[in-house]
Amino acid sequence: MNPAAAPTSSRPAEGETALELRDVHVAFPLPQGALPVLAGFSLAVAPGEVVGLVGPSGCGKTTLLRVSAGLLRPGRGEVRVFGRAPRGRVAYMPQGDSLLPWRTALGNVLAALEVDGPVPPEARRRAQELFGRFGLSGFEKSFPHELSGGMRQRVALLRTFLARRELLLLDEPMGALDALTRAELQDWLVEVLQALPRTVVLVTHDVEEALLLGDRVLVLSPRPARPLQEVRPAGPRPRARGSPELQALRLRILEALSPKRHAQTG
Amino acid sequence: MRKLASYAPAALVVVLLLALWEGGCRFFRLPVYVLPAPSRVFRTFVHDLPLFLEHAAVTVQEVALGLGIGTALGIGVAVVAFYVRPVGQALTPFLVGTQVVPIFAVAPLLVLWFGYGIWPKVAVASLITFFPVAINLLDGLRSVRSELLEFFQALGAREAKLLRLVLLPAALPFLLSGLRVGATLSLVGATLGEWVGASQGLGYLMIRENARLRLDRVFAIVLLLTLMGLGLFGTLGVLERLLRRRR
Repeated sequence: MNPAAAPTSSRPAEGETALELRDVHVAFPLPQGALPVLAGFSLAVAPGEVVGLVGPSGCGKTTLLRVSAGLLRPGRGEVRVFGRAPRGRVAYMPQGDSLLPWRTALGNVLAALEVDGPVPPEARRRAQELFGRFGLSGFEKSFPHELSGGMRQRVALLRTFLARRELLLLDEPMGALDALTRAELQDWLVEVLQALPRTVVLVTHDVEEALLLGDRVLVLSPRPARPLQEVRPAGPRPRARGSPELQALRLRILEALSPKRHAQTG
Repeated sequence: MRKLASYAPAALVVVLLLALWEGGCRFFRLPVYVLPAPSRVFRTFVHDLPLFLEHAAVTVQEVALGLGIGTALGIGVAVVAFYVRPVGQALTPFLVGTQVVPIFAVAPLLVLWFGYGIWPKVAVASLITFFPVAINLLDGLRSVRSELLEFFQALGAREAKLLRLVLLPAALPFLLSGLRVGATLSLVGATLGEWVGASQGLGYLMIRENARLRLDRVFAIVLLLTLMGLGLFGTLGVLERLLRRRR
């Protein structure tokens, strides 16, 4: 086996799993019959682990996250977040613009806290402090439409990080950004994860992003999604973007994702 | 500047019409009880303004109460119809019904039921306001993007919280559009209610002065009602634009 795929010792104490999907089935009803999106999908994420999910578009990545967040009930199978039902226990960052346009950046971040009740002043202060770490100081009172795409994503990420949930589910957190902003934000997210460690499931179609951020990268097949390969980038974050190892892994994943291969494996 | 210039043709037409009207009245020496000249209307408007304002206060009160009650009812019905689909489907014909019923036909009944005071007019105004508010708000609630909601749903927010944090603020501009339509119409509705039976209010005053052949006063009241309607429409429009600017 490839050394990158070898079992890791970074897994915390046995017993609890942060996210567990067991034999999950989801099918969308269509006029011409049910469309299976997940057919017997299983996944276990350890506490503190960052798992990247890459796969062709439309393979069911978003469905996977929505099921994990408890937003979608699977037709069959089980979803557990730290042993319990997921609803209310995860911070889910949906794809695309999900900030409230009528609230300021700070107001959006505080809205995440308001879900759990009135926001105490010290929580408000902590949120304001985090604006600095997230590269947003001075923009607390700006409305989303006054911010650049990259900054909006940062606000959305800050809101997700601050929501005090054990598990973060990020759906294409840098989806709609230009390549430069993207790279910058990826490096920055590595730093944030260093400072504020969380259990994260990150969906992306950017293989490099998954390799830079994930302790483990799961390569998914086209719909219905099933794991094709598991890749473990060597070494702790931050990882060098251009390193030969990373490039080799990237090529391996891209090859696994290429349609030609699917034709061969059926 | 360009925006101002775009109003020029309309202003020119108004000025021309006024001049024609004024000239006609003078040329044919029309008496006030046939057609008062604009200059006369304007003089009466200024001179009798205290009297008009006294009655306007009553009309404004009716409209304000009607708007308040109609809006509250509209919000309630829209929220219920949003969550309980059959309720929405069951209510739609009635909602439309309230709009097709000619107010003229209902107003005497309302006077019969609610008496001569302000309440029949308030009822007319709320009936008129209710529909555009309910329909627009329901539209607004249904058009909230799911990405806005899902973040909060995953965090475990309950419906009441979703309504307060996301749904109602998102639908607020829609509600205001409805209110803007309702507000102007309810001014007409309240005036109409006052025609049917009242001892106060601009509608009552209009009927009274008409009977006394003081057409200058009637025209002045029409002018005042127009200004009030424009003011109401404009205020709500500005509010709506302020809210929309952040979307």
